[in-house]
Amino acid sequence: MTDVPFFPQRDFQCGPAALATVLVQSGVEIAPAALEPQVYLPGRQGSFQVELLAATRRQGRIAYVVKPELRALIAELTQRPAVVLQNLGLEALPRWHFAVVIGYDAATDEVILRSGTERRQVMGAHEFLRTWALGRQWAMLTLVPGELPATDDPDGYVRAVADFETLQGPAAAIPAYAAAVQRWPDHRLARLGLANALRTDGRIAAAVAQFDVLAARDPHDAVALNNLADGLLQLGCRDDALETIERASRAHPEPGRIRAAIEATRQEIEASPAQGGATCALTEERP
Amino acid sequence: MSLRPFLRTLSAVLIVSLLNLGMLQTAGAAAIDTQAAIALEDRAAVTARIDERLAREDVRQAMQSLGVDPEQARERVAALTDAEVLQLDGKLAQLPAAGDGGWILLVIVLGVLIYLFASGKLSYR
Repeated sequence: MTDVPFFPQRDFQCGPAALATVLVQSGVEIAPAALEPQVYLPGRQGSFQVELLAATRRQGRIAYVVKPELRALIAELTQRPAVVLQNLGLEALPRWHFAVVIGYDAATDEVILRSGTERRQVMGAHEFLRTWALGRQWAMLTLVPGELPATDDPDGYVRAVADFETLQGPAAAIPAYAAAVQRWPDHRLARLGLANALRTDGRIAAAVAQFDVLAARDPHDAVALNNLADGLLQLGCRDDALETIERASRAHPEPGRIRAAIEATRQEIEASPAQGGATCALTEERP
Repeated sequence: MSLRPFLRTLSAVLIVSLLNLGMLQTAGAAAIDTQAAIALEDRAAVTARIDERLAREDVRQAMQSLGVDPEQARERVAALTDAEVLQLDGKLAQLPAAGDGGWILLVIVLGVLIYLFASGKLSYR
């Protein structure tokens, strides 16, 4: 990864410098100076991890935190560089630092970094691990929606996409959820995320097809059934919607947030005018 | 200062009642969104949610007091997730802020100690 850019850091600006490095690598045109007002805290002379994640989302990239294992970090490095938090000081007297790991050389057991004012810093894996472990083995990636981490981590990835969606909206998140569904077709939250994003984006028929897959897979998935009923109603399939909300109701009799949503959906369906031929063939064609 | 816990409780109560109000009024959107579905899976997120709006305001003010421009502080807080806000709330002074500047403090401390030893104002005994 010699093509990874390098921004030598100015005083205390390792956060903006490291983040700009990985963002530029993932196709965002940005300089560290433009990130300073988004991540730097003058009163602390440094930047926080969570603000690096937030700034990544502001740049239209998904901020994914790598599983805190060396194996996972090395796997990610085969695809793209990662920002890491290091403690270059002592546990009791920390010197926190963000750097970018661009590679791992198994032959020499060395880690290659862009760090501070050093364009190419080579650190023994053992020494790197010590500094990384003191930072609780924190590493993050900036992913273009549609790109997936190398690690098999659907839970972590889908949560990262959901956080991205909150800021950037459903249309931007759809390619990311779609990629997750393709790679992890059996993961419930990935598909639910895709279905919800499609629904919010106004693609109701596509959303209904995905909710239907979830409901067929787990007849007790009250969330999927509720959202399926809502989608069916929006498509004008009132009878199917009513039947589906009954199933949701039976699947989730306990009071609480889900139950409240089910009741609200039921009221919506009952309030909508009954039309002739309100049954749709949709529920019979499962993808 | 003693007013603060009271205000916090009051706000929590107000937020809860607003949420309930919202529940009754959301006739147009009865679907359960992805963040809510995730919160249902991660139990901790649900219980933490109540303080969230107040926490955002706290973090925004703390950022400003640490030298962030008011407009930028607003944008920065808006980009944080609920969970991230709760991680920062009340901890902006303690959380690791990576800036690679820790050595400066150490150098100053050592410098002062060396000076004190050298000038005889401090000794082992």
